[in-house]
Amino acid sequence: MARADRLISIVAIALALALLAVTFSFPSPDIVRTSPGFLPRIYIGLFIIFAVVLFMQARSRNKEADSKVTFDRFSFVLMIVFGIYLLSMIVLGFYLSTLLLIAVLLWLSRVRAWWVIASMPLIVLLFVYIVFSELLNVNLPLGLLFS
Amino acid sequence: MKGISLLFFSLLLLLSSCSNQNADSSGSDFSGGPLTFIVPTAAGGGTDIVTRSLGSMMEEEMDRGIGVENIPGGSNAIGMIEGANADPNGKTVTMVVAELAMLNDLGLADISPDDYKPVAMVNLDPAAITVPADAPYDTLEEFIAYAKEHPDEIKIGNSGTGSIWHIASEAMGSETNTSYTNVPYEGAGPAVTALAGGHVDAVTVSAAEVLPQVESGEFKTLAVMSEERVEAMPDVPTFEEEGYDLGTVGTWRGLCVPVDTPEQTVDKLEKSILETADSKEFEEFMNDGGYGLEIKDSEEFQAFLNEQSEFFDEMLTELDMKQEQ
Amino acid sequence: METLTYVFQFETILLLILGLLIGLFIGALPGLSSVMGVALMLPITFGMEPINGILLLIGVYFGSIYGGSLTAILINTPGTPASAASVIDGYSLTKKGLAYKALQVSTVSSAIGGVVGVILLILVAPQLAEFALRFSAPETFALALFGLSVISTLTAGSYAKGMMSGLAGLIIATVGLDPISGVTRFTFGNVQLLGGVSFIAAMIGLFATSEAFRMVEDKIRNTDSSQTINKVKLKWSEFRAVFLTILGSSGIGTFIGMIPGAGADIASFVAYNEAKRFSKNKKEFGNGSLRGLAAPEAANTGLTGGAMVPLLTLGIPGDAVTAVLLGALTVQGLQPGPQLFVSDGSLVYALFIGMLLANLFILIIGFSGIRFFTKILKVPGHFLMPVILVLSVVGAYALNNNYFDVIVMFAAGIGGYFMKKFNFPVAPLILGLILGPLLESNLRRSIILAQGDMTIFLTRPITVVLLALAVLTLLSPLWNIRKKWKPDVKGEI
Repeated sequence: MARADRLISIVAIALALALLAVTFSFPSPDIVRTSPGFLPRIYIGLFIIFAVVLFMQARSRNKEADSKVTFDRFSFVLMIVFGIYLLSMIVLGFYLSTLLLIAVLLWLSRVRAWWVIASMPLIVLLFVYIVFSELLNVNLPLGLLFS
Repeated sequence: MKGISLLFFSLLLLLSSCSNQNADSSGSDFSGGPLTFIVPTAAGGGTDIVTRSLGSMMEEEMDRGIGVENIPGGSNAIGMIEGANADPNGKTVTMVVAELAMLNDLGLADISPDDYKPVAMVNLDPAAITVPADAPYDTLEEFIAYAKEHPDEIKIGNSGTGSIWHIASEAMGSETNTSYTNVPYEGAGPAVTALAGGHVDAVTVSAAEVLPQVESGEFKTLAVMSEERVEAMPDVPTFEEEGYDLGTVGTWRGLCVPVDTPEQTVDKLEKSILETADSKEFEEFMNDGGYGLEIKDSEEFQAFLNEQSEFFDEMLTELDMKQEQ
Repeated sequence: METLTYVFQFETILLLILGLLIGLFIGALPGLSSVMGVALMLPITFGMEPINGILLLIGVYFGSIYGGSLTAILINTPGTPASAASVIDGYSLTKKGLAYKALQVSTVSSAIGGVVGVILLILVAPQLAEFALRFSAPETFALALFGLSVISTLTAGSYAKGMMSGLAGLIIATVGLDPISGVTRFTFGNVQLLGGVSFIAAMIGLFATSEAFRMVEDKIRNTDSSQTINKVKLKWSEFRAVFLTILGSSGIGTFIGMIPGAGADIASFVAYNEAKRFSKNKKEFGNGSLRGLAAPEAANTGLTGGAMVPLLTLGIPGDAVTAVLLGALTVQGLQPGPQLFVSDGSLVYALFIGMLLANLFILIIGFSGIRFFTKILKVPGHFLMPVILVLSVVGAYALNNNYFDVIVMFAAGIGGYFMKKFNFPVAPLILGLILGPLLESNLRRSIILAQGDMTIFLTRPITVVLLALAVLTLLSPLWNIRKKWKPDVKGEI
């Protein structure tokens, strides 16, 4: 954790400095007393201070007591699948993409009963369709294919 | 049970995708299928309520479904951009608001009245200069005289810098040669609240937005910025009557379609909207809600849009708020 | 008597209950907030009798706040921003297997909070309204800073990380059109960012989506799948112990509800903080404290009564929901304001009775539903995870019918996942996002109102007290750290 914290604080400071530079490009109309960059600069300044504190604390901390951050590969697979799903929605539309997403996620979760993989996406979609499209009049994107 | 619902759903899915394709294959045909009204503000606001009730009344009149879709955000720019980019078949109609004539000049979004073909305007709420009932001035003349003696001292609440009610206050200042401290709020409502709490000395929001407090005797409205007096406040003079050439400054709402929509389709839509807007039922609704009923047909609306664009262009240049795109 | 026959009609009661159920449902779905629920039901009420229509909307309003807490407690996903603070101790209780008890506490606190709010509304509405109006920009700025100071108590181990998280929220809150100067900030030319980053979409991502990403981890799967739901019920002695907290928090909620611009989100966080401040057992907070759950739950419903105060007595809506209610009243031909009590007195009292009944029904619906609601915990993670992901998408999209909010949700989901991994608490970030605009615009508005004179923050008594409290809260953890250098404790939020 200590190493991660140090790395995070360095990245955070770099990012904050970049944003700080952006605040100086804000136009500054003189009809109001405070400039648009006034508060963002205060926030960014404080943010940098706490990032430095984090860096110092990470340095002085006893490494033995630190817990190690562990990741599970499945989480990353899930993020990628979810990202692809969001992109596919633009073409396939919400309903078809979601159908595929749920089926794929069930498969990845080692569900092998075919009737579960077939019926669950449909039940979820039926629910979403009735509640959102019919009752709440939210028109979910139909995608390039269907519109 | 599960099987039946499954079957039902797959049928539904099939049907909905088919009907959509049908609608599309018929291309830019206006006939058949429901209309969509895009509202560029969040559900529940004045623009939304007006559109929904107009829509439901038109549903009966036209005998076809009308769905209302709220696409708020970005100073109402996002909904109006989506509406302008919709298929120009007359089936997607956008309720445009006053910001349409300002967004481009403010450098906020690439959208202007040129992207639209106006169909009909239904509502105009002019700015009204309103002060607490116990203020030391009773008429516009006294107010201006006071402002001349005390430059920058009168605090005027508005709905955000660069918003229509801010422009109204600035327009008043430049026309009457007075200057004020303009205090931006998150909208007209909070500005009115600030006036009720005595934190500002005046507001330049619409008459409708101060009507409850004016009726209960807490506020008094000194003048309105329109050519004619406001129905809800027949005793309040216009700026023009008081000798100032201010024209119409206010918020307005009207239905528009994308600029490439065929003339015939626009005519059909115009006819249906005007018929509903002229009805007793709509008039009653507008009066109950305190919205100013102002109906303009396609041509008049176009002329009004041109006039407004010019006015905002002038005002924003004067305020040094105009951004070159 | 006339009033009683007004409310106690079968149809009216039925609509009220219907509204509550619809609200409960809408509130439980991420992305659908109270404002949206009420606004979506609004057109339906146009054709109804005034009292029927308004009580239907009141039902949706109250129900949605309660519904948002159900999912906050059960699956770590606040359905509405009003329940963001309930996640902290509510979900901790669920993880301990005490979901049943947690829902009981939430239901009782919500009902009592609501009743206290209505009673205060009935008894002292006009006086309170005058006081609330005294809140000008400096006072609201101080209140926002006070709300933000809660960050220091949500730090779960590292003060620096909590503050970084909160400040990141504040920085993100400045994206978009600056309401004070009318210029754009950090939008990089993107029109979608003009209106800023939607904090509800961000909230869905940080809580719900990131939770789904974590749900599939082996470690969690193995420990959580065996999660048992204890049917341990709330004991009378426990209820007595939290009763004072509930009353106090209800009062805080009602009071904050009256202040224009301050909503349920800030009320629940402030109540949480105060409950912690006055508790003898501060360590318990964040680890499944009944007090820590009761406080925000009582405050977010206590708020409903408070929010009606300026609406009914002055015709001024204090927040977005009451703004929609104002629209509903005017369309019905009623003009809220001092004369409403005279011209439509029986309607106003019918409304009060309806509001009390709504809270009673919440108690009944809540208690009879707990057994049913907790069933969701028995659903295995691999079924729950896809559903949460799909609802995150639908919820984010439904906010504005805009795909961009879905992208915000996704980004926040990934961000939230890594924040949780590296022990950065996400609650401060949400708090910063919610309170940032309130803080900034009121600070800068104060400076405009004072024409540049900064002493405005030191000459107004309410402002001074709130600012002092805020600074005290912000610095208090530093005091503890100096006393005892604590190692990094693994936090969950």
